[in-house]
Amino acid sequence: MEEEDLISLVYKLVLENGEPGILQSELWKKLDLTSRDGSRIATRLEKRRLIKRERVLEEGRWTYRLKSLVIPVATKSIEEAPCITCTDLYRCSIDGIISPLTCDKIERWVIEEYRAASVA
Amino acid sequence: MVKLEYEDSFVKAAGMLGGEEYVRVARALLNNVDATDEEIASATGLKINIVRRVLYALFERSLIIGIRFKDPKKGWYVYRWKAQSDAVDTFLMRERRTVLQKLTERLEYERSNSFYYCGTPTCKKRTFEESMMDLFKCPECGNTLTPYDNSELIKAIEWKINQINEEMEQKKRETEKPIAPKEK
Repeated sequence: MEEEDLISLVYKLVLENGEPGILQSELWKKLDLTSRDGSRIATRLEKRRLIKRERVLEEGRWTYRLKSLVIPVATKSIEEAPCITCTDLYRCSIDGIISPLTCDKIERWVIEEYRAASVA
Repeated sequence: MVKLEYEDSFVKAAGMLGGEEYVRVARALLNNVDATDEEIASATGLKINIVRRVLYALFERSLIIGIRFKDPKKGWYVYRWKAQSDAVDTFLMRERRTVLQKLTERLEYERSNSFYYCGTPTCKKRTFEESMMDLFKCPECGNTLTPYDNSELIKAIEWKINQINEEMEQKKRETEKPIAPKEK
């Protein structure tokens, strides 16, 4: 697993633990990480202001509790929407040659997403 | 587009604009504050022209800012790039509105017309008026135009419009949440 994927996974696990957060040591055990690698990832997430690390005394030892600071922004509804990357958007209008009324890309996108959601 | 669920908002926004290289550049911008295009290229392993293309796309949408400075060694001007994480919400709201407008226009069109189709994948569907003018013969392939049921497309557009509206409402509720008073 690449480091960036690992960062996403750590963030996911911290988020899933909600308000109380999760102990750093617990998390590293879960992911089979060394404390050195784990700390590096936690620092990255902290630097990106996605989590905070709170120093806590646990069973006589100082450790960190990881808590999420932000919920990931919701983008699902427009992910893969063709208009976002369409190079013809600037000349797309109802009465233009490029029109949303006849756009194949929009049609394919909504149908595919609708079918996928219906199956799920 | 790369699917990113648990990611920084800035990286998610960049991922919506392009492929893996957009995500890599976005992550590099977060990891290296005020980096030059050359530094980003070296951090990502991407070619400098690809990095510049991605930076331009991000800059065009106000997702990054560039600060010009004079390189003391080389003597020429270079830019240092900085992620504008605060601009992500505005960017997403703008994109949602654009998509919503296109879908609303399309929905109205699909609802107010009946369509005819020849069945050839490369040919387009025609409205009743267009088909009548063509005497119900496809001008592209010559096949007969028969009624086309667009009810699935109408349902799909309605569903997508609802999904976008819900996401916009959710965002609105989040921003309207009162800020908890600071503990004394």
